[in-house]
Amino acid sequence: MSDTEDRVTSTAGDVGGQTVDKVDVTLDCRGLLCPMPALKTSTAIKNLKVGQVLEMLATDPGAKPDMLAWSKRTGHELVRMVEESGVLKFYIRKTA
Amino acid sequence: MAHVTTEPGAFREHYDMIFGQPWPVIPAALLVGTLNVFLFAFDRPWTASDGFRNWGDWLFQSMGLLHRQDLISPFLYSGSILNLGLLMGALAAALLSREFAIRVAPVGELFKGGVGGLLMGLGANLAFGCNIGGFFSAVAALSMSGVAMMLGLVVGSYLGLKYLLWELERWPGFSTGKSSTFCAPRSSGLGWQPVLGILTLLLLLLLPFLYSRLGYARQAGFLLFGVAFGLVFQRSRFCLVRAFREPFMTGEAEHTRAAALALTLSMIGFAILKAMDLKDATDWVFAGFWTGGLVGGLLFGLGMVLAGGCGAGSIWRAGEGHVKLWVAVVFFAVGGSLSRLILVQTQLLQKLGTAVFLPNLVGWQWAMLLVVALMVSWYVFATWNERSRKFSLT
Repeated sequence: MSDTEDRVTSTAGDVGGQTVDKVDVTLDCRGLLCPMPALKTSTAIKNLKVGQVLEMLATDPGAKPDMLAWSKRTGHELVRMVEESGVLKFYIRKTA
Repeated sequence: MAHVTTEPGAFREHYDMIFGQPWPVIPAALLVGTLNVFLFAFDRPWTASDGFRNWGDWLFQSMGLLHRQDLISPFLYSGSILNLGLLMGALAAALLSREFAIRVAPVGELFKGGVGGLLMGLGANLAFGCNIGGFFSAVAALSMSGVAMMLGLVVGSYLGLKYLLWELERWPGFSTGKSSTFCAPRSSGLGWQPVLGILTLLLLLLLPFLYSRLGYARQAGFLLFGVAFGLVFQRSRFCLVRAFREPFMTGEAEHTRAAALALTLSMIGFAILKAMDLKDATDWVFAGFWTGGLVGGLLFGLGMVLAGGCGAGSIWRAGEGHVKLWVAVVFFAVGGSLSRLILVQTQLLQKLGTAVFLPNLVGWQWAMLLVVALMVSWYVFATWNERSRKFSLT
């Protein structure tokens, strides 16, 4: 079973591409619309230690550009982003 | 030697260009602003609340709770057709971009969709239009009620955001819970969505022909306008809720800038139509200055942040498959119809303010200059705030 992002590539897609070894926390934001996924991610990341990885699941297509902007704004690393059957999976590593 | 082959690569390239990546927000907003001028020239400016109210009226009429002789069918009423066109256009765009899926949000979210819809229905009646008709098109038409609504929208969306942040902090469980997703696209290959998208688009091009054939050429025009709006909105995800909410949230100003530019463009177009006597000066100038505009804007702003979509946003997101917005659309219609009835019965409708056409107060040049100044201030404030993050709560 492949975990690769083989949907149509967009300029906002296919982030990172690094492999993610371990997920420390999973945040389920499926069904939620903007601004909820980004807001919830901000709250959730506070409870992680630096270096830990948060996996966030979303179904809102708008979450893709939102999380890219979020990562740039907060400085936390968006290590990888994949899309599987309509579910967007974001892997975020907490930086200092 | 020339070697002609069909290149799936080239097709894919063009498909990607239109449907594979999002459309940039500012050009899309300018396109929306331009389409609005065309629509005004065709008949009247864009609004979404008229259609919602029509749907609500029809619901109540079919339940026997309402008896209006003059109620026009949702398939013939301009406002309704604009909304339906927007819905179907967004659906087609979502399918073609493989972004359609029926997404059922957790119950707490669905509830907020309903409450948001009700508030929008009420607010739109007080302000004589939703954020599109009562603010965007109204300010473009140099109606002071639109300016009052703008202020109300700023306050209302701020309050809505404060509520959301409070809810996330104190009651995170409300927005958590079981969600379901149906009919999502598969990961690999193009799949069935683009095919359905093309069929939808063909249907949407066929319907105007049908309308014309049956003697309803006007309705055909409204449908095409609606579809165009739906396509542009879904592809660009241009969002007026963001224009108001984002500066207070993340500080991002892109949608605010886009809205300011789009409104300015619409205003210039509207002014030309009015100044050239192609349209009446009092067209789209509402008796909502200032109570109706302000209070209506406040309620609408609050509602749109809770619902996650405004007049247009609720519709195009509904087209993309978000069930929360289906709920919002239903309650917008219900709330719009009910509150209108109440406003008429209690005769409050007359007490919402006066119709003030700005050029009548200060002349054409100053009126346009003032509105441009207002838009420039909005643009500049948001851009400054984007850098300084002074007013951003998160």
